[in-house]
Amino acid sequence: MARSSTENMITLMSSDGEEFMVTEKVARECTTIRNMLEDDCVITNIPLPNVTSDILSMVIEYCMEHVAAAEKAAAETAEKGSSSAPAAAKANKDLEEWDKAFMNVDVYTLCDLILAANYLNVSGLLDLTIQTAANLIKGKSPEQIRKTFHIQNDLSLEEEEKIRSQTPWAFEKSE
Amino acid sequence: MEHAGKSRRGDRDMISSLPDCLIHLIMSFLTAQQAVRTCVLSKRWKHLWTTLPFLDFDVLKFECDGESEGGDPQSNKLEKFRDFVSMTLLLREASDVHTFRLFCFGISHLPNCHMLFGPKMFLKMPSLTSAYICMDNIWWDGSKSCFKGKSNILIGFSNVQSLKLSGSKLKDLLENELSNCPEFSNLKDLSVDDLCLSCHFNLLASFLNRCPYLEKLSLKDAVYCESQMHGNQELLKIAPFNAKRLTTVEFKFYKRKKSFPQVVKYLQDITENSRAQISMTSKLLV
Repeated sequence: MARSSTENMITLMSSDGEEFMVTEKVARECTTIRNMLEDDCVITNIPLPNVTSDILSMVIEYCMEHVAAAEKAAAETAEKGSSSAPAAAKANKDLEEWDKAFMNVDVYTLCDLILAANYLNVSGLLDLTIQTAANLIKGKSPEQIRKTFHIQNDLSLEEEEKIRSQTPWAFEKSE
Repeated sequence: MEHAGKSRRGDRDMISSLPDCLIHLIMSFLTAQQAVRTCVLSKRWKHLWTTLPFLDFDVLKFECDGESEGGDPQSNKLEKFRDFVSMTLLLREASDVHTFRLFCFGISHLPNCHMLFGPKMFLKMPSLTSAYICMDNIWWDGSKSCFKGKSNILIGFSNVQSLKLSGSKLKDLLENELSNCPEFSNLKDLSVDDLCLSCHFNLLASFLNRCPYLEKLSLKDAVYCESQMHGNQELLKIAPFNAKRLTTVEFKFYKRKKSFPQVVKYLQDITENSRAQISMTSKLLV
């Protein structure tokens, strides 16, 4: 998408030293960065020591997509005076589809994205990743959950039995 | 680069290394039962549920072997659900719950089902900000209240900012507990569904009198009312509530009843004092 030359560019630097040039508008999707910009508006180079380059590039991809969708909706509203409901519904559905495809990642990347979304405070991305993680737990037995997330069971058989016997009301249905 | 990243992670357990608050956030999308069950995953998960700030109890999503023990499967399920709610609340750190949802639905023929919850069950949640209660169709002989014993549900919620009440047994809940209720001094957003406003508007009015700082009120009239005495109640014995901060009132109903003009008049009176917006919509019964 063509950007006007007057738009401010911000450089984000990942923990492994890679630099990402983004528009200020995209950077502002991260509340953490927005707050920095509002505190000190001349800042153009922001180091992010908690986010690796592969995860940062994904966060930026998410923010760019959502900014573009919001801009498109705003442009349509301005053009027609008011947004048409079916068009807005379709745009929403498209964005949901995009989110869904975006969440097609392994559990490690998912957990890294949760941490990054939390650190950068991108509420939409945090909701999306948390919901995705919860969906991976729903309807699964403890053994299946351990397998999905590679959780090492460090409880001995006796300990696990003890926990189950202390909380029998939670394990009513045999798995 | 990416490949190197992946092999470095190996089979590492990333989810368990997330901070508690993020694991809790994930658990907030699960039912309470599923959240509690994560306690056997590993040592890291053993106690996580006991500090979970979001509790979602939903009888429709509750899994148990109701049929296996003989007797009435519906009653068995309700009893087991009640025990699950009770045990979860008793064994956890109740003080940090901030979102609470309880959805009860089912028909029991057991005589002790009226003691749905113990009297101290709901008293320890001072941080609670948002609560949703639905009590529907729980009775044992159809005539008596399911809230014979004092459950003190509403008292436990006296600090909430947002409260949603619904279900056909809401009348019993209000009748039983209103007299003991303190002021809901933080309540800003109240939603009341399924209360027959023709028959039980007084209950609502006296509840509203305890909500001095209410900003938003949503009412949805009941589709069906057991008492069938539409319009026979004497309205407005209670002084109209002084809603200083009320900004929005939404009133939805399915059909007009005899006493509706009075209900509408009451709503207009309270909104006039506060200059709140009132919207009324009639929905056709589907």
